[in-house]
Amino acid sequence: MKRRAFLAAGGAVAASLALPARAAYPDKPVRLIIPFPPGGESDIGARLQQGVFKKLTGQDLIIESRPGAGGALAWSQLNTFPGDGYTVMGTNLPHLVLQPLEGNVQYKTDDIVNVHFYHYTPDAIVVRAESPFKSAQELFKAAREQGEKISFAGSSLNSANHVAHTRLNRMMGAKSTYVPFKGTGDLVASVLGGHVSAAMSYTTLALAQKGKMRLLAVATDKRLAAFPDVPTFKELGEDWIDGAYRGCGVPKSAPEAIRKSVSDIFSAINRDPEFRQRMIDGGFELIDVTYDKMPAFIAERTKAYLASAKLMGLAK
Amino acid sequence: MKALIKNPRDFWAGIMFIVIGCLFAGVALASYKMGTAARMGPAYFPFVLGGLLALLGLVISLLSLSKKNAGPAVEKFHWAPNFWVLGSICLFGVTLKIFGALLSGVLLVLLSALGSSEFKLRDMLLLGIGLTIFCAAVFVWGLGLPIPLCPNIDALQQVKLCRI
Amino acid sequence: MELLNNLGLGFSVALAGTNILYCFIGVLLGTLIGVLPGIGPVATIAMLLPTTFVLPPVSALIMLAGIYYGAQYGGSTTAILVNLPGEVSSVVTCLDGYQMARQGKAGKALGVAALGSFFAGSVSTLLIAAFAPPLAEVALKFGPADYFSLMVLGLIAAVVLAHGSLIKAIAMIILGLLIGLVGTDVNSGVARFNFGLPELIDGIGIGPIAMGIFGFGEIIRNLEHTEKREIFTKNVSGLLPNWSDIKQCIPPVLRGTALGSFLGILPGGGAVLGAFSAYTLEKKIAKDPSRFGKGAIEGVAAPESANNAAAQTSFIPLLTLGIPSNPVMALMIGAMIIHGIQPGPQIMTAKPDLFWGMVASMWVGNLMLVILNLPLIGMWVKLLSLPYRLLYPAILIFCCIGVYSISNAWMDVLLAAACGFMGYVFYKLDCEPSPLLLGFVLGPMMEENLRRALLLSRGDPGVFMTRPISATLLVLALLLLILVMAPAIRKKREEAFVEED
Repeated sequence: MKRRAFLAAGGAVAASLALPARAAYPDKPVRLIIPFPPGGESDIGARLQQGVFKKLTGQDLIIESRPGAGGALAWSQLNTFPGDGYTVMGTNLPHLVLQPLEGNVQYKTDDIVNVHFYHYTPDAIVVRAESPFKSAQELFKAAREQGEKISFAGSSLNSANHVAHTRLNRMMGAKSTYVPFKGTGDLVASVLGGHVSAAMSYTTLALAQKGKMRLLAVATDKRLAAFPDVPTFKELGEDWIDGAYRGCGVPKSAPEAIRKSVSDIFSAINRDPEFRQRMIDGGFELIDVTYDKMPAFIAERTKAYLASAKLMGLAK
Repeated sequence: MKALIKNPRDFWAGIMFIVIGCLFAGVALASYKMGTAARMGPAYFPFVLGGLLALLGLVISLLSLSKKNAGPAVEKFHWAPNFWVLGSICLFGVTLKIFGALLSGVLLVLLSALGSSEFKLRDMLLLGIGLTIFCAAVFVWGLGLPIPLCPNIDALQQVKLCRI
Repeated sequence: MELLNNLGLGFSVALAGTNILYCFIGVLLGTLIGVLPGIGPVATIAMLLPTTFVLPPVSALIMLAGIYYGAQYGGSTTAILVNLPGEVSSVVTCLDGYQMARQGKAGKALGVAALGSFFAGSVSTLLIAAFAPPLAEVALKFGPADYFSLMVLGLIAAVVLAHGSLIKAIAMIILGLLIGLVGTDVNSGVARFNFGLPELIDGIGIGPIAMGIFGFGEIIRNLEHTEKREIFTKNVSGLLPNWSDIKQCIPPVLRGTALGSFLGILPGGGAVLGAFSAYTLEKKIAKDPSRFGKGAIEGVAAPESANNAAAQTSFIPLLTLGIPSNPVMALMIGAMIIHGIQPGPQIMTAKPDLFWGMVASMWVGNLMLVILNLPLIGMWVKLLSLPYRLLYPAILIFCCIGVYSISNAWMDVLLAAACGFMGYVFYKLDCEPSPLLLGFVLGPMMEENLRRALLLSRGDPGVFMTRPISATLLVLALLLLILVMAPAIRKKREEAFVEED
């Protein structure tokens, strides 16, 4: 009787002991660990990938959130997992470059094996609808004239927003103030209430607050379809295509074949038309940095972040 | 000494506040940047608060010496329930990832029950097993929380019931 | 008129077959996880999120919302029965609710909590329906300086919670503030007081602290007394509140609802402040404040209505501005995006069926919660008649699994044990722990806003007095401080006179 209750509680899926190994990866559910709290951009992106993953591989993608220390808690544990490809972890730039520079975290940038970067949320300057600044130029001019009085809200310190703000100050030739908040959700009220002059955030914020907030500039290659009137930083005279990059990594012990397979699957997910549409609607810019392109990509990004980190006083 | 302290509970509470306050202020001062009132560093707030706590502790202790504030003695400190209850909780925390919740849970119930004066092994064993299975059903099979159930041995990890 | 039309639309959505079912599943699950100590709505909603993919978005959001306010409801049950605050806001309920339970009045306390919560929930749902957009504008007026002053007012109110020495209560608040500082400093990125442990970089969670100090501490101190006396009296008086109890509770419930509704609108901290400022108010205006902390029924009614009202109105910033005022709301935003709904100010006009459907479902959900909870009271009261030697290991195992599940960290379990010892020491030294908990919650927000305000004013502390909201709050804080100090000073003087005679 008890035994039956046991099985019933486990549900229909309870049956299997290990299945005989098949050649193809994956032949059982894959766990994707997201190092951020549920509800954030990383989590949302992963949950949208979940369905397509199942469609393409026939296996479940189980999302487990392990937030802590801005992602560092999970990343410092990554290499303790088995490298069989059934544990994959979300990875983020510039976090992976900047956090080790600060010296508080227990991993190094090189410890993390990134296999694929699939999207980024572009940097963007956003002001509230009532703001006197109608264009990026007006805001830049005010920042040059009023210096510290002009304030930019951003999500946390030594983050993508902070890097972007440092870069913006250099570009404007101004000394505006960066005001860190705990997260993007946290700073919305301060921007809408006019307690800060603007926000150095992502395009996702402008999309979510369309009508209440105005987008002044975006760090994409071309203008966004949703905001055809908003100039890119490129047009404003700075070669600036950047943002928060999201991808995934595997433990160091994973063999080359597994690394490549994981990369291929996520690359294929990115090609799914319905998924693409949903991501673009949400303000994500899709990219496709596969495993073979990874070393060059990381090297290029690292160089850019180190330049900003120097200005922020993080690196010598 | 005894005659001097009119309110022992307040006196020792005061001492506790002084020690904790100094600890926080000291660590803050030694490890972090102070900054100025306008641009506070990470040490500023904890240093001020720690100092304030120590000061309040001092006041509490001094007041307890006055006859006007006389109060009852500190009740006897019972170590046994502290040891069994807190010890079993710590053991549960440490062993959860190794033994799994099913084993650690029974252990927790058995050991913590030793803190009570009326301990019956058979009752407690039954209670422990019943509670653990109930918890597994609610938390793991029902709500799908990622809590390890079985001992961390590869063979057992393959059993679906042991995972989520 | 438009309001009636909108509500009509809302109820037609909320009462549609499947939606009412999902609303029920939501509040049922919410009650369950609220009753189980430790495991909170965040973990549950996060786990259930994928299963809601297959549902239509309105049903999914109705269910998730139900889990949230259902948990607030259930949380008061454990607070009253076993002195375990499931949420910060139910810390205050512990003070008098648990004492009532020990006196055999658990049923009354639970009944008043349920009825008060229902009333508060109904009123605040109506508030959302009628005034959501203007109320949201009020929330936006609060800048960093104003938040700081609000926290100061809150902390001074926390002193009133304690029913012992004033100066010890203040010391406990400061201790709470200090413990709250553990973790990464938002303004400098430095990890403070983490002693090299990566688990502490994000600070200590409220779960281990509340469960340790209140729950574990209480168990240990009960165990040392089992030989001498029983913990819960055997003569249970009245299963449900009678008419005179209810009459006594009407004014506190009204005041609690008003305070909770208003404070719930403010993102961050609002809901917490609601419950205990309601308690403070009741204690201050009571004819005999000494009853509080010893089982005063108003001490359950007011904070319970306040926290339920706040739980409802905290949907206002989410639904009208797209601002998540707490982690649960952040998850709801995630749920909307996954369902292809862009959260934010446009939701009311672009998706009226979703907005009004959710509002109406909240009222329906609250009604279900009362119907669900009142019959359960008998069962809960019976549970207390179990011998304590069987009851406490059960509480322990639920707590341990609950604490672990908050962030899947065994470190939290050890922290909770350490806090249990602290709770026992506090008890021995007559130190009331509830002010500590409130200092712990408000402290980090206070420091964050203080430093942000000074950063924005470029170091000029004048902002706290020149901004009207902030200045008003600080003046209120000063008045409250005088009000709190006055009786103590008077008492001292009376004692002095007595001695001279």
